[in-house]
Amino acid sequence: MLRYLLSRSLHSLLLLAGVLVLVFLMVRLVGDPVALMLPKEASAEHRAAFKAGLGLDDPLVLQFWNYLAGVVQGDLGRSLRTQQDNWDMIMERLPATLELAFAALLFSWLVAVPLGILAGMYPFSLLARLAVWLGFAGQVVPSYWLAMLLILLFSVQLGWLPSFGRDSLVSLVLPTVALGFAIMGQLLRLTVAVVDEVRSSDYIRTARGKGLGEFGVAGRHLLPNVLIPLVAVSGVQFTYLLGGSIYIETVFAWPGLGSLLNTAIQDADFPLIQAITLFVTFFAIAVQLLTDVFYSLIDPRVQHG
Amino acid sequence: MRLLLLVVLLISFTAGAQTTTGGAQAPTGQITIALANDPKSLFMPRAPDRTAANVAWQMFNSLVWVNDNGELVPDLATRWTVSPDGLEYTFTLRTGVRFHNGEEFNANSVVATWRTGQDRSNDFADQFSLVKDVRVINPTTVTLVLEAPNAIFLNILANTWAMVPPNYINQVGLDGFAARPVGTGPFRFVSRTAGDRIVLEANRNYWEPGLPRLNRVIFRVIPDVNTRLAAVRTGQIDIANRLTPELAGTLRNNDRLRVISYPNDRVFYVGFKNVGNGVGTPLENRQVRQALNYAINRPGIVRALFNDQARLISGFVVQGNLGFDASIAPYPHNPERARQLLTQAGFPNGFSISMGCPTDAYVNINEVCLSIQRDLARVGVDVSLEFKTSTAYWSQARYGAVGPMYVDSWSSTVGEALPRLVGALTPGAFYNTWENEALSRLIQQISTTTDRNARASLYRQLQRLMFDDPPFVYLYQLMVFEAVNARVQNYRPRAAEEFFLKGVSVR
Repeated sequence: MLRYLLSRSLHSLLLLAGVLVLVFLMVRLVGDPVALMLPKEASAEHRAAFKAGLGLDDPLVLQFWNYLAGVVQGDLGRSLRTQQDNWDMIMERLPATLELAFAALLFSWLVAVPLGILAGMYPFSLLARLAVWLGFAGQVVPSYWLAMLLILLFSVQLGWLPSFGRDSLVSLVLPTVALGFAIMGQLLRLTVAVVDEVRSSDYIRTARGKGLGEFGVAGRHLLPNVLIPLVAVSGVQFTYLLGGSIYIETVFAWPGLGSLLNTAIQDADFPLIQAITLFVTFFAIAVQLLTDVFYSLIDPRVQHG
Repeated sequence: MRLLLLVVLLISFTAGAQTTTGGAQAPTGQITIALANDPKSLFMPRAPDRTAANVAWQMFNSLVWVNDNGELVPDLATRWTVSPDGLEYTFTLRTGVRFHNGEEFNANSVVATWRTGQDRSNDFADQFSLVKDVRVINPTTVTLVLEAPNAIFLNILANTWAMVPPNYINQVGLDGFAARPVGTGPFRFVSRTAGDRIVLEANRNYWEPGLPRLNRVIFRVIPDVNTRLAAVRTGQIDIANRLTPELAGTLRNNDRLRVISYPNDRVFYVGFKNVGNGVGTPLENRQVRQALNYAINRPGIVRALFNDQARLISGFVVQGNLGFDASIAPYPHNPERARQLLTQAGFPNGFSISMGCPTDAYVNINEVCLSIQRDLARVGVDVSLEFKTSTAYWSQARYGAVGPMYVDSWSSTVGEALPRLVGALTPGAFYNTWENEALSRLIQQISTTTDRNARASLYRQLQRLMFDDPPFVYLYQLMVFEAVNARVQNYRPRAAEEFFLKGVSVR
């Protein structure tokens, strides 16, 4: 286990270094952020002084060295636009993103697991048809379209839910559904497939033969089987939710990391883009590592050596 | 220099002239306003975007203010005089005004505003370094000494010089001040949640009697235009700005909302270069430039791409700007005349040229560039388009290797065309691409003429010159659309999308 962890950590470090170099170079390919920051009337002299003040006129190698030295010491730099500490800005926005990501994941589990198990157990029922339909819809409906549809229906037409912002638990509902719908679709299909596979296996038949009821079978035998792949997929999806909710956060004016990254990209705020990307990558790697460990705990067949 | 006559502005302050009738009424109610982006900073010298300035100005005052009619009126200065050479502005300051933290406003505040404003990390540092010295005559009198005469100096003061409290800003620094701004304005800062909201509340000790009328103002950051529309329809917010014409059109029959539209003081144009990579190109020929003006189907662009919600323009001085000459009509679309002019200029078979296009910068800009390319092809001018992202487009002086034709826009927040004229047509300016001695002499004259009427007449001369010998193709001004809840009273946004909330109330 220890060797496995060490090797995984080394891989993670290499991955992190790769992301660091790539993002550093990519953001600089797009041009000069000072052009967007200063008023158009700003003089050449002010532009030069402003740029020098931000360290953007140093040679690229020196800029990278300074950046690397900062990162190694845990300093993610300062935003060009707001001149605030990037770490502080990320920490300010992280709770909103985590809240939405957990809510979306919870929503997808709450729908996918019970519905998937029931649909798997009763493959010719109406529920099974609903599950097929929902699973399919989750995979094909674009989240931006769903987001607009939800706002139009539940906010504008019915007036039940707020269309934007992070004011109370109620305002969490629409972004959660919009964000979690696709994952729900994936988990639902997965659950149905797993249940379908195991429900006719020998040990299930034995369990039934011992007189265990359908709910007992589902709870004690099907669920543990379903959990293993679900945890693995959810780990991947969770990291996707952290970095991939840019659109949903922007549409619902949700003040999380995604909307911060969107603003940073629009403003060519290099240090902030770098900081968020690095942070999300680090977070994703950590979550993956934890998922793997957890996976090995719930599935004794997984051996690391 | 003969024109630098003695100009004395002596405007005595009459309190009643600016205040609302009805006496001192306690502020009541609240409104919620959408912001299309999270403001960069609430410290005015660092607030180059309109959104940030619109939030910040509710908390501050300058020495002078531009009222709804575009006139300069006293604010924290009750009167001012200008020296005969136009270099020294002496202000008499209002007494008894206090900042939100209790500090007294006096001459030291003006000094602190000037000192902190010119920090080179500020976006608007240039607007403060126009002043080379601030002399304190006594606690209520200061003289600002300019580096060079500047016709719109008072407008610049009104736009960027938000007065700051010296002790507080020294104590917390510029970053600290930006995080918790303190001014003398009608509203005071309560809280800010990054990316989400900014809350202000009435300054109950505000020096203008009867103002403000609202008790609380909440700004909510809503970047997506469809969400802004949904939020104003559901009544979650009271004012949604930067709507598209199509979206605003969906609100026409909504009784609870008013749709406001007005032309934005931003001109779109096709720029030409006669410097850098513009040297030796057909653009140096006046008839060619006139031909290009005739060749581009601007009414067609406005109709097809902007649903007729844009105004055609005849130059850089547009309706609402000082000295606008309505008698000069925009160039009509006349491809036949364009071909004739090209033949006369010695290009009967046209020519090939490159045109830059800032692909992500403006609404429908790619389609506009493509339309121009198609229109010019019809008169034999073969345009190759260079699409670039805005950061790359604006990263080099004179647009670097872009062009020699390029599409761009330029706004003004001072009610005059001077900033864009200086920016685009004065040698030495960062984005200057066209050098013409007669033009730059006239612009120089405008920028140092402090008399408004004289300046207006110079603007008219300039428009004629820029029309007859066009350095650019002038395209259009876009309309701005906002939706306002019917309960909001006295909300009057201005052409630069700016607004002041001190007189706004709710039913």
